[in-house]
Amino acid sequence: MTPTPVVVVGGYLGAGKTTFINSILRVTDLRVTVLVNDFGSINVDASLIRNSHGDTVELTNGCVCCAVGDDLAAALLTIVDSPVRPDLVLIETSGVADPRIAATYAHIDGLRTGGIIVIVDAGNVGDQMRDRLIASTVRRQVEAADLLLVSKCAGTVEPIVSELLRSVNPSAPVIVAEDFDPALIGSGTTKPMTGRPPAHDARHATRVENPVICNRQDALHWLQSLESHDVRVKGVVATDAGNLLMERIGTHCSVIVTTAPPTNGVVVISAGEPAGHT
Amino acid sequence: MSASPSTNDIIYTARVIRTANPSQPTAEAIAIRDGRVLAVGTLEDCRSWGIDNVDTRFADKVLTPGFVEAHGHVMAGMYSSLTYVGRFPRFMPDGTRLEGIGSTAELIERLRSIDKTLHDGDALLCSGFDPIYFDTERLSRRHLDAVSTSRPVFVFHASGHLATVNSVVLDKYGLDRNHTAPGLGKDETGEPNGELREPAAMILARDEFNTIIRIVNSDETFLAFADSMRNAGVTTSTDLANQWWRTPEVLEARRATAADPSFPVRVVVASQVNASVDAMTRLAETVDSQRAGADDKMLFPIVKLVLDGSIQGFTAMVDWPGYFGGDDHGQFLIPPEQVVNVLRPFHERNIGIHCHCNGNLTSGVFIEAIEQLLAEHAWLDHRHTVTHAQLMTHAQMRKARNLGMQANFFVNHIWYWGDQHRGITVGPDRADHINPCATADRIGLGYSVHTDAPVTPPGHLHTMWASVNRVTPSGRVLGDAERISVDRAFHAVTIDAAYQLHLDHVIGSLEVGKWADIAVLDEDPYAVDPMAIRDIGVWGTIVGGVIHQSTAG
Repeated sequence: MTPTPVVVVGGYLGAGKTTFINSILRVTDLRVTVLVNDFGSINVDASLIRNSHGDTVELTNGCVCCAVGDDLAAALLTIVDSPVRPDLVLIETSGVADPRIAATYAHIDGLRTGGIIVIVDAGNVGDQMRDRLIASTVRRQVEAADLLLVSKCAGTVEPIVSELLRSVNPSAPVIVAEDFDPALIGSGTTKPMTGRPPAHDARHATRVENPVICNRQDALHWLQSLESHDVRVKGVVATDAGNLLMERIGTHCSVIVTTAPPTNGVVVISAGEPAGHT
Repeated sequence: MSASPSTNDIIYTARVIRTANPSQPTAEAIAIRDGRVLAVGTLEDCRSWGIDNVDTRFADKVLTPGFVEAHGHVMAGMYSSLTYVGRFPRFMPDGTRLEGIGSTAELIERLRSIDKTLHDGDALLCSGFDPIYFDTERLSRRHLDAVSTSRPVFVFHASGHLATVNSVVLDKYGLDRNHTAPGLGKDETGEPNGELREPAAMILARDEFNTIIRIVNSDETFLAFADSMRNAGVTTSTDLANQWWRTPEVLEARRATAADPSFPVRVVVASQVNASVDAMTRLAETVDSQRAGADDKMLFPIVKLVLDGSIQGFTAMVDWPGYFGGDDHGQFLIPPEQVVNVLRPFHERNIGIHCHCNGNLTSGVFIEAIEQLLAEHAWLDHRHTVTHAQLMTHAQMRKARNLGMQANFFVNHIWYWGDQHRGITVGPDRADHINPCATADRIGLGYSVHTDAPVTPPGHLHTMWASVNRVTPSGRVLGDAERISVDRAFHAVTIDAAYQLHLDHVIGSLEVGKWADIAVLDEDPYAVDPMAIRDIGVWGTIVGGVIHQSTAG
C-alpha cells in the first residue's frame, strides 16, 4: 500500500493553526484525519460536524478529527493498522511542540512525511522570539518549517517580520497565510493535480514542467533546484526506476515509487516572491 | 467507651520506635488493633488496653512509620522483566543485587550472559544504560552486533531520550543509509550507527519498543513494584502519571490485587494531566468519583502535570544564564499560558496537583498558575506541590510558601548526577544549591524528598542519606549549606510526604488512630554514622497490621 502522507502544522499558541486546518477541511476532497496533539479543545467549524463523541469528531465530508493528548505515536499506529487508511494525515501540534518531533513519527512504516508548515502571528512573533519563557520554543518552530505562513498581517508580510523569520530559517518560503490556498494541501496531496489551475488561481501562478528524470536521485535534485517560492509541486513521471510520485510542499521534497500512471507533466505552483526578492 | 479487646490485638516491642510524631518522638512498644495504631508508648501503656499478646520478634529492630514515596512510579517494577544495565549497583524486585555497568565493555559482557539464557528469536531488551558517566567510545550497532547477530538487541538509555540497537533491528525495519528519519543516528559514512533518538525514532523499532511499553504496563511489573517498595521499607507509594487507570478493567483488577492483604504497599494513583481542557474536565470528574469510591490500599488524592524535561537530558527549562555545557534543548510540554486552563478542573474539585518542574522557568510558571487559580477558587488547603523542584529559586520558594504550596526535592540527584551537574549541566554555583532543602527550611516551605523510582532506586534511606550528606561519587560535598539534619530528613520521607499527598491523617507517623504502617529496620538512622544511613538493612514492613518480610538478602 502507498504510504499515507503526514503534514505537520505547527506554531505557537494563537498563531492560527486551527484556522488553517479548518480552511483545509472546508475545501478538501480527500479523507483527512486530523490529529490534534494539543491542550486546547478540538475546534472544528460547527457546520462541518456530523457527530462527536469523546475525543473524536466526525465531519460530514468523511474527515475525522481526534484529540490525541500526548500519545501521538499510538494514534499514528492505529491509523497504519486500520484497514481503510485516510488519504492524508494532518497533525496539529501543541503550541510549544517542536514540529520536527511529530514529523519524525511520520517515518513509521506505512506513513511518509509530507512537510512541516509553521504558522506565525505577525504581530506577536517578534516579541515571542525575545520572550524569556518561549523564545527558544518559537525559534525552534520557525527553524523546523518547510513553509512559513504569516497570519494576522493584513495581506502583507512586513520586512521586519520576513527578515526576522529568514534570519532563523533562510530557506523556507514566507507567505501571507490568508493568501495561501488550503486546497494546495487538502486536495493535491494524493490525487494527481492536472495542468488546470486550482480554484483560487488569482493568488498563485501555475506552470507545468516536463523535467527529464531518470531515477529517484534526479527527481529529488530537480525538486530541490526549484525556486523557494515554488511552494507546491506535484506530478508522476515515468522513469527507468518505475513511476515516481514527486512532491514538494515548501522546501520539503519527497519522491516515492508509485503504481499511479504518469501525469501530463509536473505542476508547479508559486506563491509570493522568491527569497531574496523582498 | 473504648472498643473491647480482640484476639487480633497485638503489641510489638522494639529496640526503639521512631514515631515521626513530635509530641512523642520515641517509644518502646506499639499496640495495633484492626490494622490501626491503638497506642504508642511504654510496653506498660500498651498493655493497659487489656492486651496480653506481646510479640517480641522485633525486639532488636527499629520501627519507624512506613516510608512514603510521594514521587515514584509503578514502572519501578520493570526490572523484573527488563535487564538492568545502569551505572550503579541496584537491587532487583526479587531482592537480588546487580552490579552497575561502568563501561561499554561491561555492557557487552552483561548482555552476552543474558543472551545465553534467552530462547531463539526472543529480543534482548535492557534499560537504564547511562553513558554520561564514562568516556569510552559511544555505544553503536557494532558493539551490540558483538552480542548477537541473530536476535534483536535494544538498549534503552536511562535518559529516556536515546536507544541503541543492533544490526538485526536495523535490518528488520529497513533502516538503512537511505532512510531519512531525523532521529536515526548515522556515522560519518552515512550508515545508521544504531542510535534511535527520542521515542519518535525508537518507535521505528516497533515490536521491540512496544514490548518495552507492554512490560512497563504489565501486571508483573505492578507486582514487582510492590515488592521493590516493600524491600525498601516503603508502605505507600505514588504512581505518578502512569496511564493504566484509563482502562477501567485494568484499574478494577489492580484495585482487587492491591486490596489483598498480601499486597504490601498502598498505591497513590496520580493521573497525568496531558490533554485538552475538555478531556481534563472529564478526567477531573473521573478522579473525583474514584476518590469517592477509594479503599485504603488504592487512593486518588492528586494528579500530575509534567511541564518540562530533565536537567541531565538538557530538556529542563533553565533560566538565564542557561546550561553550563551542552546544548539547551529545554522544552515546555505545554504552553505556559495554558497551564492554568488544564489545571483548573482539578483545583476546582479540590484535587491536589503535583507538577514536574526540573528547571526554574517551569517552577515559576507553575507557581504563578497556582496563584491565579487560588484567586479564582479559594481552596485554602490545596498543598499543590512543585515536584523535582531541583533549581527552584529562593524567590520562588518564598512565593510558594506564601501560597501554601509544597516542594518535593529530587535529592538523589546529588549522588547520581551531582558531579555531572557541577561539571557539565548547570556548573558549580547552581549545582551547589540544587535541591535546596535547608533553604526551604529557613524560608518555611514544606517539602518531601523522592527517588522518582525507577529513575533512581526505590527507598528512602538513600534519600535521607543524600539530604543529610550531599556527597557525590567523586567525594565532593555539593552545597554544605543545604545539608539537613537526620531528624529533618526523616520527617521529609514520612509525615511531610504524607502531608503533600493529603494523607497525613492516616499515614506518615505512628499515632493513635492512623493505619498501622511500619518500616522494620536493622539500625536506627539517628544513631548510625550519617554516612551509613543508606546501608541500614530493611527487614520488611507492616502495612495495616500485616507483616511483609523483605526478600532482599
